[in-house]
Amino acid sequence: MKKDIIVPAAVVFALVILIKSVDIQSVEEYYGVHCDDVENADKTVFLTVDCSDILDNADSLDENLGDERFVPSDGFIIPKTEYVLLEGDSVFSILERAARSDKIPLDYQGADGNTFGTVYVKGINNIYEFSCGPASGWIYTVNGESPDSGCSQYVPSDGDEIEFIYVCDYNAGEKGEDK
Amino acid sequence: MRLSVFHPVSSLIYFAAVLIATMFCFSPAIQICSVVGALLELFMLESKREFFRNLRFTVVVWLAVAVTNPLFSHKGVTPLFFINGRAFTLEALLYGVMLGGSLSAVIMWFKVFSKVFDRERLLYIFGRKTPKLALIITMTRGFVPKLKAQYRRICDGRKCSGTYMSESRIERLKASCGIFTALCSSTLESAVQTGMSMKARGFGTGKRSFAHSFKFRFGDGVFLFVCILLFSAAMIYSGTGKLRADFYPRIAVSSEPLPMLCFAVLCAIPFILEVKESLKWKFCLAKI
Repeated sequence: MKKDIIVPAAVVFALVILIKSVDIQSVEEYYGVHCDDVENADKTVFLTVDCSDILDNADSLDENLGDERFVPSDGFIIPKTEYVLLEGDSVFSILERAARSDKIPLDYQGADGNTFGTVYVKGINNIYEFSCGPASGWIYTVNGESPDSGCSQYVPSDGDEIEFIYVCDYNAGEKGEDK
Repeated sequence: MRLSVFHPVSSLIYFAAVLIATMFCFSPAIQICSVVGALLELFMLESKREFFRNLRFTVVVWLAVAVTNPLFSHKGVTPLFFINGRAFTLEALLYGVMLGGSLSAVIMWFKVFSKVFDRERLLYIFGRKTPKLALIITMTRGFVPKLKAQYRRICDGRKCSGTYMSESRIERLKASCGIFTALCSSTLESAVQTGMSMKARGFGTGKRSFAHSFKFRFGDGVFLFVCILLFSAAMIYSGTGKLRADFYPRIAVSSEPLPMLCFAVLCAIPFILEVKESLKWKFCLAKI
């Protein structure tokens, strides 16, 4: 019967779409991203990833994370470093590039995953939201201030200082939203 | 004595103990014991064909859970590869294996439960206090086999009349849609008939009386005592963190041999009894 072709054809079509939409990278490929040299770049930003708030609230930290490997003793996962600002970069894409080149695990909810239409950073270096108390998580600031937009929407300009800060209680400091 | 000979209360408490430990102790040691215990007992209870067919289904469920978990959870320190920029980690995979193991162990224990705990026992346990619940449980359990038999009957009828002959997949799909419709209407009809018949016989008008031949013997007491002892030993150990397992961000499993042994014995009791009985039977046969 000719009709019988429909079923295998649909299966093959679905498989092709699935394979096309899935991009599998090996560990070396994923972490093989290198940041450009800042010497010759005309625009740069500074990025800091800071989890020193955990050091002050060490008792509420998930005990599996009590290790130098996850929470460095100085509290800085990425100390203040200069990175190249490329055309079309958002705060998040700079963080992702930096994390990939430094081999730091990064977990996030994609922009299509929430109603705000922006990427939400869930965990950096295996320190996740809620890892240090029920109101803990990652926030970001630009030049010391919390922007009103999400980290994949905010477009930084030359010389900006971006900080990703882990807060154990985001109600305590007036640092604003973590998206 | 085998598991199906014990008093309903003893065997119900046994199943409750095993299921509670399997569901709430998140430790690889407990899960492995539970899976192995259930597998051995099912191997003794079921026919070979049935056993391997069920095993195939269980393994598929297990693998599906194991592979799905790392697609949604990216925690862990050992990335194996990256899918669309998210890590597929070893820790998440092992967590999934563990979760799937727990799920399939529970499925298998319920299978053992339904083999051992027949209608009489269910009515004995629930019948006095909640006859309606007992009725619903027994009717639900009888429903699927009945449905299957009815499906076969309609299928055979159609085949005889020549409406189910086509080789084409699409045609056959259409034919089975027809069978499904017929099945639905006959099921609804029989449900109405059951209700009417029960009403006609006066269900729910008076107090119900029960006839059963269960007696709480000495052996039931011993069995119950051993079960509760082993279960509480395993639970106390697991409560004090001796059977802790953490997967994120790094795997840290502590499995003390003693609580593991307690639970292993608890899970192996039905199998041991079953083997003992069949050996006894063989021995008796040899003597004749």
